[in-house]
Amino acid sequence: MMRRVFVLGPIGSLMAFSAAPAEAQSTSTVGRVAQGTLTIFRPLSIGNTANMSFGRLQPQGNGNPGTVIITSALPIQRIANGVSTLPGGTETPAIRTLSGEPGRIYRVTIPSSVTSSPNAYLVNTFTLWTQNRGDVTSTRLGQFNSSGTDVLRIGAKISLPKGSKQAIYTANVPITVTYE
Amino acid sequence: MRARVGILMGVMAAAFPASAPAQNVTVAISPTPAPALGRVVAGTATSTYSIDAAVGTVTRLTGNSVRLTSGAVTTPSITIVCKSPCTGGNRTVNISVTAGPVTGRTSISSFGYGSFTSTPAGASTSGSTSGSPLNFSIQFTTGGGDKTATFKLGMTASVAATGSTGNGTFAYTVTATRP
Repeated sequence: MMRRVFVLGPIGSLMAFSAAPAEAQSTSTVGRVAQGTLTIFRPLSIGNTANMSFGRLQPQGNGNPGTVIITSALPIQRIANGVSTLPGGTETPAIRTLSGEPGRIYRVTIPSSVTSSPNAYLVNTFTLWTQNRGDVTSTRLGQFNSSGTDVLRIGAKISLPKGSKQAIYTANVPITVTYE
Repeated sequence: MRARVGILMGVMAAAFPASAPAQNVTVAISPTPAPALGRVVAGTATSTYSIDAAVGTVTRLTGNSVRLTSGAVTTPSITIVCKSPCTGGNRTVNISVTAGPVTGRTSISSFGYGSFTSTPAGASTSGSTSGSPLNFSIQFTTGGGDKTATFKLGMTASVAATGSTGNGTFAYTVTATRP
């Protein structure tokens, strides 16, 4: 007669394991990980490439006041009214090299007017042109390229009063650049 | 005589599935991520910012970086649940808040907590109120049922003068232990 033997050892152990109460397995230490966030920008910097110069100007002989506009965009142009523009004055808009966080928008703050050297004549009606965005006169907003740089050109108008003399007229234009 | 081994292991395993251990303490953090410092212009030296636990006021303590985003931040609210039975000698929960891992140029140098409340009311705290790591204990009141404590977490974060720019994070871990 064949005897059947069932191996109960392993199965018995499994049953004993399963019969253990769940409370004996409870967790007494729990940890949670979280994060704070921020966005870091590069500091802004402004480099001076050229100061504004209207070049050599000769008021016309009738003694009337006149104006000269130096354009911000290329090519450099002097648009004169009642004034003769002479060579030899190295006319240029103010040129600034800017650096900051790549791709970020920045705002240019500029005074409403400054005065010329020599003679402190009125310089106003500023125009702004950037290498990355072109004419930004109305918005005053530029944008850094993928390398974090931009070039800003500042044009303006000088008003020469009655009786002004021939000279090379320049102007110092302070600007502030901030992240928008 | 031939021994027959009943292959029942798989059947038994299906009939008595292994159960996950029950948690007798839980930790929740809300909101996440938090705190959000916003935009910071890097300085030329390491800068540290203190974030008040209760009201989220951000104050630059050292350095010359500039935080462009103004105003207070939302600090994380930590909720600890002492699961029943939370009575007798089993109603104390030890809290440990640690910084890291550090990724990028921002790290946490200190923690503090505030605005502690409990349900039922009357739970008390003992131990440090600030530090890194921050270690303190919560002792819940007597009585049955689950018990909850909530507190706001403040911290001091450091922004290094050098490193990558753009979006960054600073990590921390809140651990609750029932002895």
